[in-house]
Amino acid sequence: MHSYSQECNYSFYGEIFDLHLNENLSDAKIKLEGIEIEVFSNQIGEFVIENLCKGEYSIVISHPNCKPLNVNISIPRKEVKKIYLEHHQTELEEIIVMGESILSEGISSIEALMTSEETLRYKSKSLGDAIEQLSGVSSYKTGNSIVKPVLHGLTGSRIGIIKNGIRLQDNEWGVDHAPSIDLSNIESIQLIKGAGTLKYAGDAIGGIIKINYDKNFIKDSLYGYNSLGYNNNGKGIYFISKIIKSSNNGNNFGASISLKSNGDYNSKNYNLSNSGARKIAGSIFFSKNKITKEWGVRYSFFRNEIGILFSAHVGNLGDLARAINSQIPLDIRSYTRKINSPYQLVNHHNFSAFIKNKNYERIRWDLNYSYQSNLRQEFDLRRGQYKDQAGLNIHLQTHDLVFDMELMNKNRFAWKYGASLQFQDNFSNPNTGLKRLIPDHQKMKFGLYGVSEFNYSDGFRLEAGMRFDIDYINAKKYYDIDLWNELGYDDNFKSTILLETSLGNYLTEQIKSFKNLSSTFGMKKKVNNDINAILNLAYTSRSPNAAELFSDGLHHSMATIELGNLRLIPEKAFKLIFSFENKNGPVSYSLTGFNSIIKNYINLEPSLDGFEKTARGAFLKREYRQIPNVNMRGLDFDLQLELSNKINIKSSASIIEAFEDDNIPLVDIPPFNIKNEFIFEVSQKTPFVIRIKSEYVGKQKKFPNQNFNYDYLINGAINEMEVDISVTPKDYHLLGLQIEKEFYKKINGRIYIDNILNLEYRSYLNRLRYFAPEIGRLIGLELNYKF
Amino acid sequence: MKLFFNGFNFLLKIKVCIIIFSAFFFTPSCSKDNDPEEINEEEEINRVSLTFIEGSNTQTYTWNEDSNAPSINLEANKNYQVSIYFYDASDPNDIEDITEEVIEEADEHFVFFELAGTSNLTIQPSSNDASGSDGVPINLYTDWTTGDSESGTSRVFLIHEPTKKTGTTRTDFGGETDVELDFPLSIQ
Repeated sequence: MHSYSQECNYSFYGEIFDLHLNENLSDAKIKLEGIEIEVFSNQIGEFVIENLCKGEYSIVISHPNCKPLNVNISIPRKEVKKIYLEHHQTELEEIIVMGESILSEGISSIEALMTSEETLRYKSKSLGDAIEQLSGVSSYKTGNSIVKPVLHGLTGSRIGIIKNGIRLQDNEWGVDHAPSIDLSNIESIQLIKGAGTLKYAGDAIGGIIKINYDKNFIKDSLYGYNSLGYNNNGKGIYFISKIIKSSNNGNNFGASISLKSNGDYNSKNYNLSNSGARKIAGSIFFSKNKITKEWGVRYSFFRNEIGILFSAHVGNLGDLARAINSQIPLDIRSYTRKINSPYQLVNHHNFSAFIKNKNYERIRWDLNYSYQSNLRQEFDLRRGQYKDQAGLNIHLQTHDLVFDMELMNKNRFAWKYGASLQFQDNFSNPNTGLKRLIPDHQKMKFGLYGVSEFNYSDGFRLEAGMRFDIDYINAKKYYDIDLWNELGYDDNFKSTILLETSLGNYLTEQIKSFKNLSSTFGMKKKVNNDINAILNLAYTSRSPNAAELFSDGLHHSMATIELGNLRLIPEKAFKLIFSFENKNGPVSYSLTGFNSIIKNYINLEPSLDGFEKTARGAFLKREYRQIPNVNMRGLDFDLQLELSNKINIKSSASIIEAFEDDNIPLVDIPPFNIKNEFIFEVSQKTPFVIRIKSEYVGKQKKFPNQNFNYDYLINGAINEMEVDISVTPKDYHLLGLQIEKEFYKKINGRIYIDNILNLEYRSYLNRLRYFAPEIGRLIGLELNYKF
Repeated sequence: MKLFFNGFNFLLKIKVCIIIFSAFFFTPSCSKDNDPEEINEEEEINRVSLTFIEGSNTQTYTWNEDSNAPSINLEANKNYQVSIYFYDASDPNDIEDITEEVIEEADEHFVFFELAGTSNLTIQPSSNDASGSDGVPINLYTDWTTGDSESGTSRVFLIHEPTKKTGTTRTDFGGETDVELDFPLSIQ
C-alpha cells in the first residue's frame, strides 16, 4: 500500500469541507492507514501531515457528524487537497427538512396547507373538492365532476395553479374546464391567498394553488400506498396506487396510477342522467439527489371523460326557459355507466425536468422546463356525418422555461429573482365542422421578477418585489363579415384583414402585445411568541386571454353565444390582504381580510341587442366587456381547538362581497359559508378516528339581474314572460361522517357518508343548478394499504 | 420596442421546430405557418320550407336566415298535404337538403307544430310520413284540416333526441330544439 524510500520530509496539505453547507469543517480526524498518524482539522478546516515519504497512501477522514471517507493520495503532492465530507443520513434529512419543508413562498404570503393525508381523503373527488375545505376557497361547478377552484371569488385566469413550479396551462379560461390535476400522487397542496407571489405570476389576483410533489430522499426505502374504493351513489369504483423507491445514492424512482369510473349519480329523488365519468391518470418520475445538486424528470398524464347532464343540454332559449320552469330535470332515464353525448374528453400530458443547485451555502438556483399538451374535446348531439365528431377540439401546447435564484446575505437581506419564457400554440381542429370557438394562435411570454426580503429583526420582516411580463399573441381568425361590421371593427382593425373569402368571411391576423408590471410589498410582525400579523399589498396586471379576446361561438348548456372583444386592455388590480395568525398551542386561529379594487375588470355581459335569432330559435348573446371599477372584499376565519388529546374541532368560514362601481353586485360570487369538523380520536394505538362534518352555505342575496324574456306558447296563445336565471338557490346545511380505522399495521379502512340527510339542494356556483339538484347521499368504502 | 416584437415574431416562426419534445407527444404542430382552414358549417339549418298541396294547388312558404317567417295563407274548410324541408343554404351554389338526414335518423328526430290562436285547425301525420323504429310518425308529412276562418301562429319545432314522441306542448317531448320558427297563420 505504501512504500518507504530515502526521502521522508514531504508534507501533505488538506482542507475539509462540509459537502452540503460548503462550509469548512473543523475537528475532522485524518488517519493514515497502516501508520499510527492522526491529525485533526483546525478551525478553518485545514490540516497538514508532515514527514511523509514518497509513495502511495490511503487516508481515512472521519467526523462525528459525517460518514467516514477513504481517499488515496500520492506523495509528493504540491496542491492542497480539498476533501468534502457528507453528513450522516439522519443529519442529512434534517438539513433537507430545514431547507425545504419551510415552504413559505414569502414573508408576507398568507398560506394554508393541505397535507397529503388530508388531500387523500378526497382522492375519489377532484382538486376543487379537496381544496374547497380551506377557508376562502369555493368551487365553481358544471355538474358534479367538473369543479374549478375559486379563490376569494375569482377563478380561471385570475388564479394560478402551479405544478412542478410551472403554471398549469389547460384552457383554464373556460367556465366548464376543470384543472387537469390528479390528487393521487401529490404530496401536499399549498394555498397562497395574496396576489403577491410574483415568482409564479404577476396576474393571479385571486391567489395561487401550488401542487407539491414528494421530496427526493437519500436513503434506501420503498414507500407508497394502494387504495381501493367504492361509492354507492353513482356506483363509483376507484383504484389508486403509488410507489416510490429511493436509495442511498440519491436515486429516486416513482410511479403512480389512478383509475376511477362512475355511472350516473342520483339526487334525492331521481337519477341525474348522463352524469357518469371516467378518469385515468398516471405519472412516472426519476430524480437524482446529490444534496448540493438535484435533477429529475417527470411525466404525467391525465385523461378525463365526463358526461354532461342530458337535461342541461338545451338547443335554444326556449329549451332553457322550459328547463328552468320545470321542477324536475326534463330528461330522466334509468341508471347507466355509459357516457353519452354531450360529454367532454380531456387529455393532458406533462413532461417536466428540473435542475436544482445548492452548491453554495447562500445561493441556490433552479431551472425548470415543462411541456404541456392539453387536448380538449367536447362532443355534442349532432347528426349526419358529424354524429361522432367533436364539436370543440382544441389542442393547446405549452413550453415553459423558468429560472429562479435565491441569494441570502449573511446580514439581513435575501433576494429572489428569476426569469421565465413561454411558448404556446393553440390549434383548433377544423374537423369539427363548426366555427372555432378559439382561433388558432401562438403566444409567447417573457417575464422577469425580483423580490427582496429584509429581516429587520426576528420579529419584524419586510419584503418588496416587482415583476415585468410581456406577452405577444398572434392569432389567425375568420370573422363573419356581418359580425365584423356589427362590432365596428372596420374602424380600428381594418388593417388586420388578410383576405375576404367566398363564404362571406374575413380572414384576419390579430397581433396583440401586452406589457404588465406588477409589484408587491409586505410585512410580517411577531406580536408575541404565538401571534403573527401579516400585511401584503399587491398590484397586479393581467392581459386578456385568448377567450376574452377572440372567442366566437355557442355554449350549449346556457344557450349563449359568446363573443370576444379585440379592444380589451389588461385589467389591473390592487389587493390589500392582512392576516392575524396563531398557529401554535391548543387554540390556533387565523383571521384574514382582503380588499381589492380591479380596474377594467373583464366580464362576460349580455350584449346590447341581447339575442341572436337563428333557425334554432333565440340565443342569449354575451360579449366580453370591461367594467371600469370592481370592488371586492372579504373575510376568512379558521379556528382549530384541541379540546383534549382525543377531541379536536376545526372550523372555517368565509364571507365575500363584490360590486361594480354603481353598486351592482358581480355575478357568481360565493355566498357566506361555514364548515365545522369534529374529530374524535377514539384510539391512538391502533389509529381509529371519527370525523363529523357540517357545512352551511347561505343564500347569496346580492346578485345582478340577468333575466330575459321569452314568448311562451301557453294554451294556444303566445305570452311574453320573463325567465328568471338570476335568482339564487336557498341556503343549505350538509352533514358528513367519516370513520377511519387501522386493522393491521399498514392496512386501514375508511367509511364515509356525504350528505347524510339526503338533502335535495342546489348550489349557486353550479352552472347546472337550473336543470338538476346536487347529488344525494353518498356512502363510500375504502381500503388502504400503506407501505 | 418594435424591434423587440419583430424578434418575438421571428422566434415564434422558428420555434415551430425548436420544440424537441413535441415529437414525443404526437404533435401535428410543425410548420403551421399557413392559414387555418376555413370552416363552412354544414349542419346549420338556415332555410326551412313548408309546402302545402291542396288538389292541384301548391303553395310553398320558405323562411331564410335573418328574415321573418312568411305568413301562411290557407282556405277555410280544406285538406292540405303539408311537407316540411330543412336546408343548409350557406353556400348558394351547394344547397344541402338536411331533411334526408332527418329521415335517416328518424329515431332521433321529431317535428312538432305547436299552434297558437287557432281552434279549428287540426294537424295529423300523413300515411306516407317517415317514422322511426318505434313506428311513431315524425311529422315530416302531415295532413292539415282547416275549419272556419281564424288566424294565429304555427310554431314549428324540429326536436333532436326527444325523450318521448307523444304530447301536446313542446315541454312534453324534451330533447334539444334544432329549429324553432313562428309562421303566422291566416285561414280564410
